[in-house]
Amino acid sequence: MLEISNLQVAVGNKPILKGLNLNVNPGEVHAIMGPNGSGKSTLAHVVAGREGYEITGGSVTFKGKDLLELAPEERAGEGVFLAFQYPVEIPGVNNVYMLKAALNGLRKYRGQAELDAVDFLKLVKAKTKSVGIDDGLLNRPVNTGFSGGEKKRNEVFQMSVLEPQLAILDETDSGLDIDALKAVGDGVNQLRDGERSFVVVTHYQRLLDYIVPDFVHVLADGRIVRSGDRKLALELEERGYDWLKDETVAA
Amino acid sequence: MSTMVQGLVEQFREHADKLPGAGKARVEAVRERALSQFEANGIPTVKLEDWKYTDVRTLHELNYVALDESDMSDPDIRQLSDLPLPNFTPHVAVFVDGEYCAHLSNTNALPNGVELHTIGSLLDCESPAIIGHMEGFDAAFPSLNSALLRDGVYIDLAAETVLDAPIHVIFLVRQLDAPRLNSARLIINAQKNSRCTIVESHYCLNGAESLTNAMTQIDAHDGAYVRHHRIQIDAPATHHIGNVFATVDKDATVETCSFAFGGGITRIDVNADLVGSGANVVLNGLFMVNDGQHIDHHTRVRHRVGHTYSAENYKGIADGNGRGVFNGKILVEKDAQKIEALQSSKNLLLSDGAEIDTKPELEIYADDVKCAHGATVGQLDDDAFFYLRSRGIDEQTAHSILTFAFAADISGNIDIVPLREWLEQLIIERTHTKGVNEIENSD
Repeated sequence: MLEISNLQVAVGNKPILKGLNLNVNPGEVHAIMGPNGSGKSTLAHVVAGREGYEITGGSVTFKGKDLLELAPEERAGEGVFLAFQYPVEIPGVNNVYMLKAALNGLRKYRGQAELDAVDFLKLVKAKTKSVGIDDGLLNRPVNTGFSGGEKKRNEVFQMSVLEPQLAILDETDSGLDIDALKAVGDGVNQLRDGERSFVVVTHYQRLLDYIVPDFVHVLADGRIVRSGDRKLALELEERGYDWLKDETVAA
Repeated sequence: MSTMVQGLVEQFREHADKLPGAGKARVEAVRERALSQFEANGIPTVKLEDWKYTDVRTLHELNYVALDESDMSDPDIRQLSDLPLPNFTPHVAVFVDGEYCAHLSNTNALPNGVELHTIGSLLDCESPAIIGHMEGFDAAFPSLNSALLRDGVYIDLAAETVLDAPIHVIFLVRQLDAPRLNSARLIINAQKNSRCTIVESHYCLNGAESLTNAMTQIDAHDGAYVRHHRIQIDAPATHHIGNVFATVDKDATVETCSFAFGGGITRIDVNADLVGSGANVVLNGLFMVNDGQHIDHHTRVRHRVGHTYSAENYKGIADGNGRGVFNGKILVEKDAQKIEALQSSKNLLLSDGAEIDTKPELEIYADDVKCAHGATVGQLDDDAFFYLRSRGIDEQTAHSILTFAFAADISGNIDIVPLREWLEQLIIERTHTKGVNEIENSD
């Protein structure tokens, strides 16, 4: 579904990703782990289409389409969703309104009829229950004045309404206490349906206790230096990242 | 002397005898004094600090018709609902090209204690109430307004009166053969503990080439509460000068909000004098400029006595090659201790060709005061823009949503729901995008 091949990305003149390969098939959960500055967030943002990154080589395709050619909203239309590490506060824009504009934007892109207010609110109500988000947050300005946990739950809530085929979670665990972490993990697990794929970008393995990955990759210095299953994450938790760096240098 | 000044003085000499109140000694004397004041000042130039950013030179060259003998009394508008203006109240006073239009107005349902007079009728009977409001200005445009004054509306609220629904005063400008100068005047006299909301709309029909010189005077006596919303929508060839003077007495409050959607050159001065302890003024404003438009707001708040309060929140949005100016001055006089003055000017630049000049000024002669001001000029937040797009919202719509969001706290202050929704729709239309017709349903 997602095929990243020899991806090279620079910011300014500084290379960040230096030939990254990753294949994600429908229904799979991939964890991308790595030390700070290894390029994890860059990868997430480049796939979602953020400006400010220079693609110096390689390709990213999604369901056979060249993703790098598409605007961010077109990528969303194709089924890509990015859960932000730092969800943006937008005062003056109502949360539910934004979500309706988003869902109808996606439907329009896909040639589907737009949902009217009644159907939309029904959908929102059902999703609110399943994700366990506080109703009160829905009619507030987007993320404005939300706690860290509320912001991340709001990301998962948006994901549940927009129903992407590929969800990228960028450091979703950062800034969460254990209860919030569990709630976010539960929310994500409910969205695992065997078809939807996840790329979980994280520094720590603790999120992976809740969202159990099929594959774990270690990103270091702009490349995936090791791939494995869940045990790799546990090994990283125990040994840190340094031993991998040493191995990379040695290799 | 510029063409404009000369032309207006000549017209005054020729036609003043046909103005309302002509032949009444006190009316004529005050007109003469106002005209001399105008002649002495002339039209302001950019050499004056107060007009540094607003060049009205183009007005100098035009020969505006201000007074003539043509019959202006039959506008071809049959009913108010034919106009694209919001309908939110039974109390409506309509002026077309400066003259009261009885068949479009309705003032029969006003409650006891509320009197609405046309200024023309007050001039005819030499009413001291109107004469008192025609003097005491040194600036050119208010003087000119007084010299040429022939109609407008005078609203008087008796003590303890509460106005049940807003009064909507509408000044319409029509396209006529020659460019016209219209003098509009609105006077609100809110006596002790009275309350009212007055909406003042300036609207230009079919792209009329004209200059409006409008003036609003609000006297809020002890304990009165006046809300005043001023809305200006003009065509590119329409220029607009507005002057608002509010005098706020003991424990009274005046809230005045200016929505300016521009024509050619727009200049609005809002002056508030806090003259009694416990006086409170709230000044809000939103302007949107685009290609070929210029909107300048100058606000002056004078804290004349202690324990007075002012809060000011202006927002500007400039797109295309539009230019916006905000100059906000707070003056605290020597013995005006324990006052609070807040001022904020936030501006959004949407294109490389647009320009915003914002300048807060504080002049404080007292030593125990709380004053704060802030001015920003920024662009749409890239992070927010990407966030919306990453959710599937197209670029244009994201742009429009964020622009609307920037303005939302100003329009959100309007508690007349149909008026607020109408303004919000207007703001959305002015963000030049399609597919955002539902934003106003966001709450």
